[in-house]
Amino acid sequence: MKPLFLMLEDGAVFEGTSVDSDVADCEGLLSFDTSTAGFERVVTDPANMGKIIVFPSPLTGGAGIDRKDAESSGPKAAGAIVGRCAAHLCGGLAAYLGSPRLALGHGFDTRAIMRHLRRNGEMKATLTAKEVCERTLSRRMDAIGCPDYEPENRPLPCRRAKAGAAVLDLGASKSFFRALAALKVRDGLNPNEADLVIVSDAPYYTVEDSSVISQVTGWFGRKPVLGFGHGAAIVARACGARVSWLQVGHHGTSVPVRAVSDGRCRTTEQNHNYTVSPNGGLASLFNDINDGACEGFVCSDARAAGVHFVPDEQWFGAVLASIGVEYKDA
Amino acid sequence: MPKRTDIKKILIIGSGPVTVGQGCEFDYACVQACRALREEGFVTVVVNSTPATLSTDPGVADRVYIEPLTVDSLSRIIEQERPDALLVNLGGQTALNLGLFLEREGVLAKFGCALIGLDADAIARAEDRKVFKDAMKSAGVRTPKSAIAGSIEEGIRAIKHANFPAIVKPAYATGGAGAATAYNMEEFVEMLAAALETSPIRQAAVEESVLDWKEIELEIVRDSADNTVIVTTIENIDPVGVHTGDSTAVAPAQTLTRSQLSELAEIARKAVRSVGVVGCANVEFGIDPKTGEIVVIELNPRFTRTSAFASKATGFAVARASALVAVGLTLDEIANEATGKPCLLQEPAMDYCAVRMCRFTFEKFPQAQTALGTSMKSVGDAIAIGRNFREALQKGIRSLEMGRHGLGSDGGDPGEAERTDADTIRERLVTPSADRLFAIRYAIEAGMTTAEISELSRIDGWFVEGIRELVEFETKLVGRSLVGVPSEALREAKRLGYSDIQLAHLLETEEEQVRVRRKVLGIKAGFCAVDSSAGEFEAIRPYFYSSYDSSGDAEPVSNPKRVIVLGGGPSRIGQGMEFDYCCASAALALREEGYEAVIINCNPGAVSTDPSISDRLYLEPLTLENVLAIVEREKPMGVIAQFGGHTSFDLGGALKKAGVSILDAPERKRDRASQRKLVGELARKLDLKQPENDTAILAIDVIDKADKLGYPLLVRATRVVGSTTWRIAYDEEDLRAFLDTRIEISSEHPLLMERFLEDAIKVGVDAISDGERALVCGVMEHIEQAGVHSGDSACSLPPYSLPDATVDEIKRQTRLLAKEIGVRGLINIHYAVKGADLYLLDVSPQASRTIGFVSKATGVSWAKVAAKVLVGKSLAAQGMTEEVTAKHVSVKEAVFPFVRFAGVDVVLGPEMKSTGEVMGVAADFPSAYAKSQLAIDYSLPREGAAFISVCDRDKRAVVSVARQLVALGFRIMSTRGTAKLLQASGIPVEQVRKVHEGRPNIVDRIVNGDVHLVINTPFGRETRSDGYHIRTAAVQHGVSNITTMAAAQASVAAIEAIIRGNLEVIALQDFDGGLA
Repeated sequence: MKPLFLMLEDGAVFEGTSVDSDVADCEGLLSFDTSTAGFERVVTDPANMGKIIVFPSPLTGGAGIDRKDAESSGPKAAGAIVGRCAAHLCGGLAAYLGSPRLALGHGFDTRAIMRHLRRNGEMKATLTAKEVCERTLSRRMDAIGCPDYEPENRPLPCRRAKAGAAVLDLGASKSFFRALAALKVRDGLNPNEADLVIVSDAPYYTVEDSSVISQVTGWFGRKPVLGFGHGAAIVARACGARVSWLQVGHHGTSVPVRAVSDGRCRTTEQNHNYTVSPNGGLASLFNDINDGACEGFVCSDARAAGVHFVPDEQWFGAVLASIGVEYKDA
Repeated sequence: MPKRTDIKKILIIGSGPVTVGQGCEFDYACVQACRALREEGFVTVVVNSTPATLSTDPGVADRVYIEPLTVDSLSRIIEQERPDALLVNLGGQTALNLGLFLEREGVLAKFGCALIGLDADAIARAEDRKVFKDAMKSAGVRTPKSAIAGSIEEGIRAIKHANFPAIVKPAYATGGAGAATAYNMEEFVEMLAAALETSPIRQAAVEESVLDWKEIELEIVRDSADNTVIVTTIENIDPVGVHTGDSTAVAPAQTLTRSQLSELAEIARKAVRSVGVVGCANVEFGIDPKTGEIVVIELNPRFTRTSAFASKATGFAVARASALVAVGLTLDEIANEATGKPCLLQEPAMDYCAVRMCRFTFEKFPQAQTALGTSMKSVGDAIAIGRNFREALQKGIRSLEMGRHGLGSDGGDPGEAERTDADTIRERLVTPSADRLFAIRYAIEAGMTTAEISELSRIDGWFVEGIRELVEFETKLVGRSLVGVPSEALREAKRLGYSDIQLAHLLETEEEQVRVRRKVLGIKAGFCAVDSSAGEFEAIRPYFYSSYDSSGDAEPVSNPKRVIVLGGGPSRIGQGMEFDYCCASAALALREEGYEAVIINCNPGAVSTDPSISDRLYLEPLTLENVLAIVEREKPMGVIAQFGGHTSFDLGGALKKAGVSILDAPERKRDRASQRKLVGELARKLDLKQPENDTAILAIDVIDKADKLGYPLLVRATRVVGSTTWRIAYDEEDLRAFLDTRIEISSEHPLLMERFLEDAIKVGVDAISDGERALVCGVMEHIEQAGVHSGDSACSLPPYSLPDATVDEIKRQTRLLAKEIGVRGLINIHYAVKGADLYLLDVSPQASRTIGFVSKATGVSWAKVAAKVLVGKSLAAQGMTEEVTAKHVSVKEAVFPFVRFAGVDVVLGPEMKSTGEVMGVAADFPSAYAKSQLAIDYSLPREGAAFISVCDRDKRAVVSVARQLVALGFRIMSTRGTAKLLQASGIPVEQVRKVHEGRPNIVDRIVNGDVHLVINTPFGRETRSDGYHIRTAAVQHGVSNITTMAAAQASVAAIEAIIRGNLEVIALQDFDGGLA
């Protein structure tokens, strides 16, 4: 096992070791996931493309790797950093999860990294076998690109659908399609035949992609549009709303959210780096209870809405109603 | 949802005395609830029967009652206080059952008081086995197949449709009391009978056994708007079949996938919803390791020992949340005190591993079965946190203070033969026991595979692999010297949780040398905050654990007014919540004086480990290594070591040696022999009497020295396993038998011998000194005579039979002694009064277990006063210049765990056996004693038959006791000897057969329910005699059982008081002279 360095855009360096001996260096947005289990799910989620993810949980892979829990055909994150890696993951992960390979480092003081992120925000970083000078680091940071995502997950069949949708797949995970099926949404329809267009979750950089935003804007006035996860930020941007970068994004399985309409609360699963400012024609539907951030909005004029999480049936129905889509009883 | 405005005054029922299954965690829960509710503007009334509880301190609750936890006394309190609401889910099963009975008997309706949080229907849905099964079924939750039995016949019918082994579980029981696994019909009938007797509603479930399945617990809180939060998942290392309270547990669960965790969470939500829980609950699951099938084994709709562990492991204040949702607040409206975030809906995230280890005290009950099963046997627990399982596990093992410093390789491993014999190892793997994890280690060393070990022990291979990693790692160290070990290997050893003592053993050097070497290499512990968010949010009320797997969080800002208070570690017999009460009180007192109080303790249920009690809390083992690391980080002005019992007292000595400033006693003579010598010197100097005594450091000298002193003798020795043991030797044969047990006699562990004063009255005194002035806090006359451990004896404050002159002399001697020793803070002294003579027995310059009782009896928090003295505030400056004279009588009575340990003799002796204590307060001694007896589960009878059988020594005294009983309407039964005596004294007696005289004999009569009171005093050290069988039967069938004449006399007076029926309930705040 070779030493591995996590070098952050601001110059901070953390040291660990590589799990696979021949993994190349990687760059990306340094982010985190605080779940105690589900490593395979996080690194294979297309929404985590272009990210190096820190897992502060003490041991990764303790319960084994369950291929069923993978969110796509293989790792999508650029890299992962863990405190300790279960023995069976060492050396075997890449082969198990298939290509493209994942730069996986362990033996890092993940708590110290988390503390740094908490204070200084999520930022770009490189995971490298050799420490590099400031100039090289800066060059690498500048060169961080936006890897393309080729849709690979497919909608699931849905009986007795309550709504029909066309999904703009910018990085939809398997569980996203599972959730749509559970909400009784038939997807994969031609947009013209669908009740609405759904903008899926996407890698964080897609929010800045003007071609995607234009594509979404193109649907306004023709079909109601609903975005999920980073897809919500894309819809907000298409509506002309102010979308800003969160210093520390929301990444967790129990983010508390309150509905503006009736004050009811839910814990939600979120993974996003942007927040939407409800201004102009946008009205907030849901707010984060911890930091007050808008977690769901509607733009009545455009018949467009966005939520940073996949809601339950009751809240989903309310969101659809806000953009004039009937959520029919099956 | 806003908080309810229709209620103002809330009555909270505590759990009563510490017993196996109900420990100090409920005091912690009640304290948290009281604080939260008072902050919200509610008036709180707390009822508990045990004095050394912080929740019964008048400053914590608005109104406090120390009264028996019975329907009768609760009814009187409700009538008197007229609370609007009753909160019963924080006081263990005791409170839950009482709440239900008060509701069913119409008391609540009569006085307009409503159950909040958990209503009667919800309690019944969770506790009534049949209703629970039906509720789960309708929610689509699978439970083990079962049938309900209200009688043996029903049980036999039920078992015909099930296979053995089957689990028998009584309804409304706690700590698995009465639960058992039956492997055949004969066992089944016996166990069912016991279970029916244990259940307050005579109902038991006969369940399909899911023995050996993986056992997982989820701690969940639900509010009235149906919001839920999963506090944590807990994985028991032992499989189903070992009571969850006895199993080593790990949080979060380590061997489950994300999908499994989500499924369990979903089932838990459904289960609490269908029961209607509002508040905290604990859901126990069984998971078939082969198929993944999940069943809900049990749902506890209340705060449990696991809740306390979950709270301390995650930083989520479960009891606070539970209390606030009971008054209508929803989880989104309750701020998270750990992170400062506005709501409690976010599930805690953990970037560490927390392990709970259980503390057993089998050494106190040599006849008890040490195998673990469905009925709980542990008396306490310890929490340890590390950045990985191995680090946490090894810290947990040393936190137990059982003489082990990690998982082996510490000089405490058994000999080669025991470690390598395949049959022994297999047997130890198959049988669940307190030290099975060590057996896994030995099995690995002996070459067994993980699969084999897992198959035999049914412990998940993941844990076995974790232990294997330790065993394999040690090969890197063995055969090397301290300086020859690469620094990276030493660092890795510390990351894996090895203590310096273990490393010293492996590298054949001294602990101190390892510490020095680590310093040279820069290997030091980092301290990380338990922040509920895995580092995502800054903790605003941090408490810490140490780890070598992280550089740790920021160092504290220096403060010259910082004091460390050492806690008492896991609860055990002899060192329980009485000491924790002192530690918590001390921390609060220091803060009142403007000092920064830092607590070090590892007891998850303790009040002192509630982060709101101190300015900073360290959940760490109380070892020299761990405490020194904290001292280096905190740089306190001093350490207080006198409140945590022997743990902190002994540690204080070691710290002082290491150059740490200790604020208590200036001269600390630690070991027993020098302590004894000191007492001897003091007695001579002050011209005080002492029983003749001597010490022996060679076994061959013992008999000679004993002959010179004369019998009977009180002897005390150190056991090979590290604990101490007492015995009264009535003759040489007795003494020789004692010497043959596993005791050690050496210059380090001398045998102490003292002439035993038969029939003497024992007196305990707590006093306080600031170096200038000494004050007596309280003089307690013991009800049992000398020879019974002071912790096991009932006592009265003020003394109920001693002449004033004797009490004055005791006070005078106490003041002299305190001054002479030069102690600052608390001091505890024992005397014996025989005739007109006063003997000094023992002096201990530290807080005693009676400080809580004395504090409640006198209305002064003596631990607080002492803490202030220790930081330089004199007694005079605190306004404490006069002794406090109580105008009422307070009686303390001990509570025993005998019912848990079948076959154990219940006779009291010099070895302490009680787990807890209760207190009775009244205007006179008989009423106070009566209350103390009512506060214990097997209360005194008002009518029926009293069986009396006493030894020759007590025959004269028993006549008047029998006469009084007859006058009270009791019938008397006796065996031949005593019957003859009583008949000769004109007392009508029914003669019954002794056990060996044929049947039906006295034991049959007890079993048949014909006997309601047993007075049976033993002579000398009898074992499997008649007396043993009689006492055991009495305990098992809940019959009041008295083993000393003094207690018999007090009990008769108490029965009279009970029959008179004027046991009024009084709030501490209302006592004449004030207890508040």
